[in-house]
Amino acid sequence: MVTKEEITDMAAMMRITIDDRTEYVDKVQRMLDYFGVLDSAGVDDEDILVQEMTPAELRADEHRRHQMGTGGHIRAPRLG
Amino acid sequence: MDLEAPAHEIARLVSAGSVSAEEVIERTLERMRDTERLNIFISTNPDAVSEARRIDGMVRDGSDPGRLAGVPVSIKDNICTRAMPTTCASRMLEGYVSPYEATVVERLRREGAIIVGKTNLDEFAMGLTTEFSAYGPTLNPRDPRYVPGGSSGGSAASVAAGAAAISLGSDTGGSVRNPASFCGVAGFKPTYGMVSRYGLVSYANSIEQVGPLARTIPDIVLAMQAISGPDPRDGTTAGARPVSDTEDIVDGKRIGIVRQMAPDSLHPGVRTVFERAVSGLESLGAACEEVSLEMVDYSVAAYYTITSTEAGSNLARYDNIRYGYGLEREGYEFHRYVAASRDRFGPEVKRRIIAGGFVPSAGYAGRYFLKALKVKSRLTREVNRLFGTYDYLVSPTVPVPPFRLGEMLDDPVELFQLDINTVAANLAGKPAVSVPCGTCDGLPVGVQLIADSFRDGPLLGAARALEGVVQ
Repeated sequence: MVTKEEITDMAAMMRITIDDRTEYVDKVQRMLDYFGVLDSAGVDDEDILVQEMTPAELRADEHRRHQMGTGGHIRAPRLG
Repeated sequence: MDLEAPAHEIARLVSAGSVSAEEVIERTLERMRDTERLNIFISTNPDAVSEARRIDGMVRDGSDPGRLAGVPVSIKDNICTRAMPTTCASRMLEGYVSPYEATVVERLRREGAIIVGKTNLDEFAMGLTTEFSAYGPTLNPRDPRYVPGGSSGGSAASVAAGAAAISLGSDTGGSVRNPASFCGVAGFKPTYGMVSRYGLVSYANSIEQVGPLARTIPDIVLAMQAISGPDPRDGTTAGARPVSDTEDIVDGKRIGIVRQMAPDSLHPGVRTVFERAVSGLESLGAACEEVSLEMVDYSVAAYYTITSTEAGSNLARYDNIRYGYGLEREGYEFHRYVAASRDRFGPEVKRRIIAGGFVPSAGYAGRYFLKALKVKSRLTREVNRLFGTYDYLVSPTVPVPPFRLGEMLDDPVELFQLDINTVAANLAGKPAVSVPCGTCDGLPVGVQLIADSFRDGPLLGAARALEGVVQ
């Protein structure tokens, strides 16, 4: 069981301010408790599949100057 | 000009000069204004009419306007466009205009499609009712008291309301198929790697795909012919081949009815529609029999564990430094400034970010994240094994019919359960399509077909056959 204090600490680490602590903590706790059903999946001996792709399948690793940017960088417009 | 006409018919008439693209778009914009109360669009394209006139000019000049000539298309607002803002339905990106365009949007425009607007969604695509939007909920065009499904609820509603002939959504765990089912339209999640994700704002990169919604399966095929295939800007598309013409043949095919996706607890109205669809497939010569996918029971937990983890990482970039909205910096210590700026995330996104911090962290990764990856691997092996025997798998798209606005907002886990029939295709990377197959108390119900990887064309052919037999 993940404690409410741990959830509050994690929110702070993720730079998330939670106004209504009770509601957030309760709902996140319910989510994490639900994820606990994975304990009974019986997959401990399962290998994790990874999709391998050889470099030959990828585009050439070469520098491409972007046409729209300045100094080789795309500058996203700042708002406000 | 009938705005409910199929996209391929609109394109044919525009290309022949029988109807002008300008007239199609003017009438579509009128329909968008008439359905404003449904809150389908976040923004509209101010250049739509002038783009339509350009298509009409090409027709007059005798040049090829493309296979989607003059077709009104809407785009989910988490797919980047240069002409309109891309907000992800979040106050965090309010008014943000991308400096580049998504590959899928470029490809649609190249084929003559006219982008009419950007559609509402659950914030950053996290939800399945389109109620978690900073711009308010979208209402279901079939009955505005009900949710349209999500997270691509605006996209499905735009097609159902006749405010677009085709829409592009994104499907991370059913976000195209679920709203397609709830709004009575067709929705397709392609094989992972079939369609470029370049320009799709990342939520859970390892499983999400851009997918089309339309009123008919032939229009889904038309959209896929335009957007599928390799893109040098997205390495996951390296093995993709564009969808070609499909044959609507199910005669002699073996179809597995996934037991865990049609349990005894299935809503009786959904069961009736589903059983009629299965009977329809059998009447066309398919052999349908029950099969088991044991990992389905754990797939929702695995899905939310993996997506929360990737969301926590992907959304770390929204710190109001590289992207932002002009929060005054004076008076803040650095970390407090970042926390204050991230206060613009909505409650569901905040919950998933917090959960996404936990599940891969030291002390919890073994219990949650690694187990979720193992469930994903086992599920993929189970699905691959079934495709050694069966051509397609079939299930209801969603285990319940549409429900009323606000009805399921209180319990996040109860809401998660509605994804149980759709997440397996995402976790295994398989193509899946939702076909509108009937109604339950007047509300639409969809049936899902799943195929093996890169069998997108044959799958859409089978879907077209199903569409024909249930009409």
